[in-house]
Amino acid sequence: MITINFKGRKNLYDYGELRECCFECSVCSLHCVIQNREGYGGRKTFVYDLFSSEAPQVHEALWACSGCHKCVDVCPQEVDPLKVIVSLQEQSFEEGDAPPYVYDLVELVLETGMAFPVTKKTLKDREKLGLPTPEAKGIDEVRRIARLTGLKEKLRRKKGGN
Amino acid sequence: MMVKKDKKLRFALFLGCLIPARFPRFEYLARRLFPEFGIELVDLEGFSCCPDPVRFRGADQFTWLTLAARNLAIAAEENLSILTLCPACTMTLATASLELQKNPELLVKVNETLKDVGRKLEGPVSVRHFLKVFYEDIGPERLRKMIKKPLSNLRISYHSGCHENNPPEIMRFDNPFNPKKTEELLGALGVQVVDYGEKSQCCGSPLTLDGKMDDSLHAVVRKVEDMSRFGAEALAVGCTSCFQQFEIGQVMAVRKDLTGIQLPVFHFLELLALAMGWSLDEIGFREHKVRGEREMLEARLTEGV
Repeated sequence: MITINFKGRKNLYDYGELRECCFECSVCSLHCVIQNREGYGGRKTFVYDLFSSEAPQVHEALWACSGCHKCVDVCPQEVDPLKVIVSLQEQSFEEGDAPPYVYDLVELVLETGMAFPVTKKTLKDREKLGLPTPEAKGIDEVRRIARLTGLKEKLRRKKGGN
Repeated sequence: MMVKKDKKLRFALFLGCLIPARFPRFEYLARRLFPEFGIELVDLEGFSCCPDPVRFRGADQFTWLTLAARNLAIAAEENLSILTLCPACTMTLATASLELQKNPELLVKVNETLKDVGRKLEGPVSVRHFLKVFYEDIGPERLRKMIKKPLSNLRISYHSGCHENNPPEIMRFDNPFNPKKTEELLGALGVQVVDYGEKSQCCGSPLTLDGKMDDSLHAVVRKVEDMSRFGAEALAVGCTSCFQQFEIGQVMAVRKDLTGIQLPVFHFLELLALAMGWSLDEIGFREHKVRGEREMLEARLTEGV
């Protein structure tokens, strides 16, 4: 049994210490997309690898989690890996350690209100189908919220290139 | 046969981002087809990205919840429930609605922020993916009677997206490991649904986004080969992100000699349109990346009709 150590750990005590305990029974690995990554297999699971990492908030596969929740559904130990993963991701983002594409996505949402760019092809296709041009009518509200919650400030901590 | 006009079949349409930006033809299909099933879609001004339940949530959970609450408030101001075309949007919005209902202190905090932009979330808002609406409000039996051209000769496996049915206590729809209700809907379109072994596996798109293309293609090949082994000639999805992953992933996998198998990919909306008598051209099949099996599909769609 191992216990994960990271800054957000105290916030997870509400959910019980058991949720931080994993002995690599491998049940979650049967449904986890990260198990497709080279190096993982039945005897090496992402969740255990993350939990036993010395610096889990910068673990290289931390942001490859799909958030599918299946690890939570199947864990016979009642561990909640997703709760831990999201908490680690928040720490990683706040400290500037998340991959650049994560900051880029957040920035795009705050700039345009959408998580995908509207290109010339988009507009052409939409026109052909008789669909209206997407308009970000509430974007000022979105930006204001991001300033109030501190998210806008966190964006400045992005490190590294794309 | 029309479903009787019913107040509960009037929804605020939440489009999300991927469909209007990259796959507007799915939006077009929904707008054209849903009224035929008695579903009225209302466009509201001011919706933003749901926001994304993976990366945006990981960046900042409180902002994620607050922006989702803002979207819910926009629908609530018009007394409308939300219908989505995207499982990820559904998951974000339904989570926010339920979490904020369960945690009044958090709702107060979220509303303090929303007050600054002139919004307020008073109570829960119903948020459902269109597949759930079709299953619960129309039902497979009525759907079967409403379609015009059963797709009886198509053998298709269904891939369930990560957020379609999970977390179960929030999505409250189908079994994420074995989505039988969605398969019943496909069955109502006449499709021969092909069961397979790797049903609970992800399409691999998070690995693509994370820059691990080879690992991502491994996930695609693993699923597609398994479906094919069980006799599927095409695959269906209800999630546009999965659609994109299976389309691009299969093209890449063949290019890299990782497999010789390619299955045409259909969004449920496209199959619904085909079952309503639309042709492959009318659903925009020419824009598909995996289209080598067109002749087979044409034959299947006309055999025995």
